[in-house]
Amino acid sequence: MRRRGEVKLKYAYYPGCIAKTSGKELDAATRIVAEKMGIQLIDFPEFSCCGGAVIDEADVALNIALNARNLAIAESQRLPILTVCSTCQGMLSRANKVLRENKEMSTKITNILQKIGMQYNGGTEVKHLLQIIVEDYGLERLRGLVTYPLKGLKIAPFYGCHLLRPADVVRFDDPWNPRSLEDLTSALGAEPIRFRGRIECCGFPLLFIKESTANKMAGSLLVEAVEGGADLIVTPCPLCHVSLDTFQSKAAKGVKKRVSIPILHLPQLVGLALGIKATALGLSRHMVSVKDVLKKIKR
Amino acid sequence: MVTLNVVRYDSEKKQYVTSTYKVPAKKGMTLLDALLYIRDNLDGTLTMRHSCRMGLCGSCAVIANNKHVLACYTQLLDLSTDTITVTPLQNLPMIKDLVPDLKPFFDRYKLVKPYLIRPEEDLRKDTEFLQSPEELSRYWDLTLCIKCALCYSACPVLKADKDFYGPAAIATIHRFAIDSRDKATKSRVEEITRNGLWWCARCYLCVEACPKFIKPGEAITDLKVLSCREVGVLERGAKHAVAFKQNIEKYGILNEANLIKDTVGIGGLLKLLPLGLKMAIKGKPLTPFQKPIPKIEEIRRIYEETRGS
Repeated sequence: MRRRGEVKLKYAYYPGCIAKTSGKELDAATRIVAEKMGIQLIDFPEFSCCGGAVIDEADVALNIALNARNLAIAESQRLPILTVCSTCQGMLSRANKVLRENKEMSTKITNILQKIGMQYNGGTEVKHLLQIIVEDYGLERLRGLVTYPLKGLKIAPFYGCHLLRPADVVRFDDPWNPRSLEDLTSALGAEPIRFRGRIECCGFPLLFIKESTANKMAGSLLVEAVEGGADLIVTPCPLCHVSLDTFQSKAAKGVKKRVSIPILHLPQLVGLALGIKATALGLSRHMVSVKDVLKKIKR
Repeated sequence: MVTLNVVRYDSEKKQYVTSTYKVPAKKGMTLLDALLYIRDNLDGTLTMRHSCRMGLCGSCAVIANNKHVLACYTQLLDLSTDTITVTPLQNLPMIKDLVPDLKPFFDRYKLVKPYLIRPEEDLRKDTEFLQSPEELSRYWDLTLCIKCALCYSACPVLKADKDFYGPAAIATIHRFAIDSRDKATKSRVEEITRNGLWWCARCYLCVEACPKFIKPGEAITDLKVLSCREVGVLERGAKHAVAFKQNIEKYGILNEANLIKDTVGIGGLLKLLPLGLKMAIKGKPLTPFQKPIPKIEEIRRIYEETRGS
């Protein structure tokens, strides 16, 4: 229920590629949680990929132009963008910063957008779901919605690089000592486990480039979280989810350890605390079973 | 009073131990001042490196409250906690207390030939190698590196892969590759392309760690762009970037199956088959068939307009 004075939150929903392909459970969980929280998501199926922190390694202007188009689509409807991926958040924010600060690039991109009958004036704010919950919605308000507090669960938050860094691009949490995910975890009734690697790289970018390194990077993080006593890892980034969940058995082999720890997408964790069914949140689609987690919170 | 927990390397027992000290903190006191206060007044055995006390020599690099910093550049009160934990740099062998052995860092640095390369006959001439202020400004920021190894310590790829050159060394290659006086751009770029340029995961921890705001991670990304242009698709990373680019031109969003196939080839794909099957069972099938997004013609026009620019 909306209290007086609370503004109705409405965003251009930018699911990103993974939530529309192999990570559909993230999309499902986001929609159902947003609805429960009274956050309105407007779909734009014509949104393109953000470049994934890959396209600009081959062509910077092309990548900025693709995101300028995404930003322009939202601007034309006067909507801020809601992302559910740390990398999308980073790449869209990066384009925004360049277009606002680099005159030469911005002129170049304006000319390109004109060719497709579009323009971007730098007016679109881009926020990740985590940021929206913490800054726009408010943790107190969320606490009021929690019907099934996640009592007894020990949760290791894992941020994903591009949601934190470079800090002058994303302008969100403290890049060395972030706390938004820990605060959210506490608001849901669970106990956050701080582990040193929580701000580090999950290895995803190297999965298909140098797999042995990627596996070691993910493996050491998983071991660290388990040794810290975590029941699960929560991440606001679906790319980290691929590295930590889909490739978990390879990651474990990479550090020669046995590891089995469930990895939850951020809205899935929120959804559980709001009383949404595990199946609706797509929890059965993970490679590492979440059964023990559900048992622990008697669901 | 501020409490300092100093994590020290005990070279005899080959393990880390923590010593706790109370330091009278006052406005203007740097973290280095606090460490020197401890050494001068509380514990003469505390060992650390320091020299210039003004952020130029790079020898007092440490980790304070998880943050990679130069101790002399860090105001004690800016760390905003009553208890401050100081640890030595990571990814390096340790000598004693807060002092790491920087040899692996400098060994990699030497590998990248951090000096101008010109043909022998140029060097025999009396003429200077001039360049315009504009040419200088292209690489100027990168010359500010003080070799403090903070980026090296923060790099998670180095932690997993000792063959990686690390941020400072690769950023230095970029510094010389874009210097108009240097005549070895192509061979520099080719060499690092074959030796791990594309192993940088772009986590930007080095960008946050650099006390000189050089942004080594951004320089590495710029070098990847230069590598695509100068030496083309020599190995996996470049292949991946080009395949990714083509993938988005075709579909507008990612087609994972095709991207993986184009990056790792059929052989690599076969190795991933068992995992692919497990994914399919879990309801995460990767399919090469996918419809392009609505208005894909806009995306293709953007590609057309940026081609060759």
